[in-house]
Formats: sequence, structure tokens, C-alpha cells
Amino acid sequence: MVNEIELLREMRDEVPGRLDMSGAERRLAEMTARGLPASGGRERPAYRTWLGLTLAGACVLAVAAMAVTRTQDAGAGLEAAGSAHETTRPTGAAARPSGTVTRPDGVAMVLEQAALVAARSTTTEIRPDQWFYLKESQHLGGNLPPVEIWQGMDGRKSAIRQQGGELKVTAAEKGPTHSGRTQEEVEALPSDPDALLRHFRALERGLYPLSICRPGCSSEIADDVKVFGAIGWYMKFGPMIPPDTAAGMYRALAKIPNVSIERDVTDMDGRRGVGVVFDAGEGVKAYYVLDPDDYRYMGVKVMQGEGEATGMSVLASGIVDRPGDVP
Amino acid sequence: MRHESLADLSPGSGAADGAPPRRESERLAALFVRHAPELKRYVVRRLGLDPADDIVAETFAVALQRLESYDERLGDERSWLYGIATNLIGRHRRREIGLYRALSRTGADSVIEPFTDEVERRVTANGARRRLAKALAGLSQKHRDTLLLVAWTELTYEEVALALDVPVGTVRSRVNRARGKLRRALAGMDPTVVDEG
Repeated sequence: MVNEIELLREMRDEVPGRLDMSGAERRLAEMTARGLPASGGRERPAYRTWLGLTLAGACVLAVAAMAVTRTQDAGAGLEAAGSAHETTRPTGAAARPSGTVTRPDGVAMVLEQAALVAARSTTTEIRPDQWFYLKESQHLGGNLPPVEIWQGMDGRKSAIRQQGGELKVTAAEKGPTHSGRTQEEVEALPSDPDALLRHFRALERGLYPLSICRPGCSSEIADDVKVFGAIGWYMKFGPMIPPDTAAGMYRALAKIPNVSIERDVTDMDGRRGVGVVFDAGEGVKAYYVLDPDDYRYMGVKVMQGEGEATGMSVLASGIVDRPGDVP
Repeated sequence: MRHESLADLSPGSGAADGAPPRRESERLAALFVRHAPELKRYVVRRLGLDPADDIVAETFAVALQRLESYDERLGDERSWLYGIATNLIGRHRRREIGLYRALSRTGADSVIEPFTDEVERRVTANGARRRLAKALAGLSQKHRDTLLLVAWTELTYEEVALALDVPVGTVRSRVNRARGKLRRALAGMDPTVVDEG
């Protein structure tokens, strides 16, 4: 099968890494000598000579520096691209046959308790003119700050506020889904745990709050990861899940093979909670961290072997009337 | 105001006595050395050789303007530079699309012509690349920016998110969506499928 990303990477790969930089350097010197271009910075004539001189010396090193940059891991981004699909490509992950695992005591008990608490919660009425608000941290190996997102329930607009930034309201990102559709989906979900498992297993498009196996899960555990992933993905939208359905989700989690409970874990933001752990084998474990009091979903954390962890935590969420409002 | 002009005279600002703000120009030069070559290659791949020097130079000129406010702790400088370049590339949207369309139509790619010899030049692009080019021309600018930053640079998803100032989930969904379009365009190569082009 053709891999579109590989083909894309080859496209115009003929353009060499060692391009002549003197033209760009000269243009930059001209631009800085003129004052600065376009976006209206204040003039800095002193740069003229300095920049020219510094660049002249610097460019001798450019080729060497370039050689270094090109050897960096070229695959990182694409691995992530592949993992977003969670294909069932065998990776040799130590999968265990379903049902043969001895589970630590407590998984059914803890999650039943969570289900009972969820079932007692109140139903939220959501109007199409309201917004789903989510503040989420992004611990993904980089230095990404938390982000606040508002999604219009009618799917037409969304808004975002980056840390320390302004609120930006735009047309909703084009994509396969939006909050309004998610709401319709959660409202249509069965509340019976076995029916939920069947439903999630049959999903055409896998849903995951975070990739668990990279690049893909072995076929033995792929179905379990798919169900575990879908439940976490929906739990992030906690405020819009009907109480019975939320209860069903906890009970369904308890029925997934290789799922156990760790009573005292921390999410990626250092908050303590109850961990619902899926063991994907080969040292890979995915955690949903639940609030120790009301079992609300606090976030996801994936541990890859040697202490390497990624995760995203829900720092706040709710239904609000206007973008910029917080619950 | 009085206290502001006093602030200008404080040691380290470098502006008061007319001396060149050495630290910033050195920072800029270091950025240029480290990143300009790969940045230029990326711009060439998208727009061809002609506008590349101008775009690369302007990227660093804009960077210089914002150097003071740029906070290294916020993230990777490459993301920052690619973000600036992406905005500048966006001004040449018609040119970029025109290049993909020409490639899809004729099988010849003027972007790589300066770098290939005559024999190679006579070999026109295969069907897959032509379909790929057509699909790229049909993507929205946002999707194309995101997909090509992922495929043609060494930025990770997180770095692309920083570059485009969107959450990483958005990068993921844009890439997935754009990949789907490419995949469908390539699937059209199956001879049992009627070619809509």
C-alpha cells in the first residue's frame, strides 16, 4: 500500500540542503540597513554594520551548522502522524491474551463506586448557543503551555486563548467532529457497559485522548486499546455526558482486559488521583487519572518504559454562555 | 516620561550611547547560522528558488524586530522562525498552488529543475507525484501549512503547534484530515477507479 506521507517526503527532496545563503544574507543586510520591513518595528540604524560583520563571520559556519541540524531525528513528527491512527500494525508489544490476566483486587469495586457517584450527578441541559470550555495542559515532550478552548455547541465557531494571550474567536476548525456532534454522540450512547464496549469496538475511526502505542498497537490488544481510548476521549467532555452514560463508561472500563487500578497516582500536573491503568505491555502503561473524591476524569498520562511520560490534564472544563467565560 | 528615559540609560540596554546592541545582533546571527539553511530549503520546496532569498531574509528581519519580546523559554526557536516563514509563504499562495497545478498537469516540476541534470529533467514525475501535487493544490492553506511543516521539516507535532500557534490536537486533526485527502487522491490511481481528473 502506498504511504502518502512517504511519497510526500520524497517530493522535491531533490532540493539540496546546501543552498547558497549569500543572497538571503545580502537581502537581510539590506533590510536591516533600511530600518526594518513591514510590521513597523522601530528603526535601528546601528544594526547595519554590526549585522553585516557578524553575519559575514557567521556564514562561514553555516554549512557546518546545517550538517548538524539535518542529522536530527527526522522521524519524530511522522511517528506521531502514524500513531494518531493507531493502526493494528504488529509492533511486538507484549500483548497478553484477553481474560487470562489475574487482576489486582479492586478494579471492579473502585469503578463501580465511580459509576454510582456518576449516576447520582445531575444532568446538564445544554443549549446550542452555549459553548464547551476546556482548559488543558499539554505535556508532550515539548514546552507547550496550557491552552483554553471554547467550542460553540452549534459547531460554527471556536475560540482559543493561549497562555498569556488574547482571546481569539474564529470559525470552527474544519474536522470530522465538533462539540455539538460530540454531544449528540454521547446522548445516543448506550448506558449498558457491554453495549458500550461493542459500540466502541465497532467505531470506524479510533478515538484517543493520547496515542498509547507508538507507532501502533499489536493486533492482540488493538481492540482493547480502541475501547479504552474511546472512553477516555469522551470522558474529557465530562460536563456533557449524561449521568447514566458516565456510569456505564466506568463499568465498561472495568471490563477491559489488562485494566487495573492504582489508588494513588499523580497526573502530569502533579495532582493526585485514582489511576485507571491500561497495561499495553513492554513497559507501556496508559493512565486515566480520576478525581479521588468524585471520580471525575482529570487527565491522561502515558508512561513509555524508562520514566518517559506524556500526558494532558483537564485543568478546567464546563459549559458556558460566551467564549472567554469560564465555569 | 522621566523614569522611562532613565531606564534607557541603565546598563545593558546598549542604546543610550549609540553603541550597537551587540547582544541582539549576535543572537540574530546565531539564529541565522543555525536555521537559515534548512529554512531556505523548506521555502524552496514550497515556492521555488525565486522568492526564497527574500522570504528567508524577511523571516529573520521580522525575528530581529521581535527578538526583545521573544522569550526563549516559551519554546523552540525553530518553531518560532518557521511560524514567521509560514506567514510570509502565505502571501505567495497563488504561486504555490500554480506550481503544484503545473506539476500535476505536465509532470515537470520547475521547483526542482535548478537542482537536477538534463537527463533527470527529461524524466517527468510519475503518476503518484502528479496526483500528490494536485491534492496539495486542493488543500486549504491551513492544512497545507500544517501538513508540509510535518512532512518537509524536522519539527515535531508539538513544535508545529508552537509555530502555527494552535493546540497540538489541532495539528493532529489537520494532519489526519490532509493525509486522508492525499490518500484518496492516490487511491484514485487504482485503475478500477474512474479518474475524476
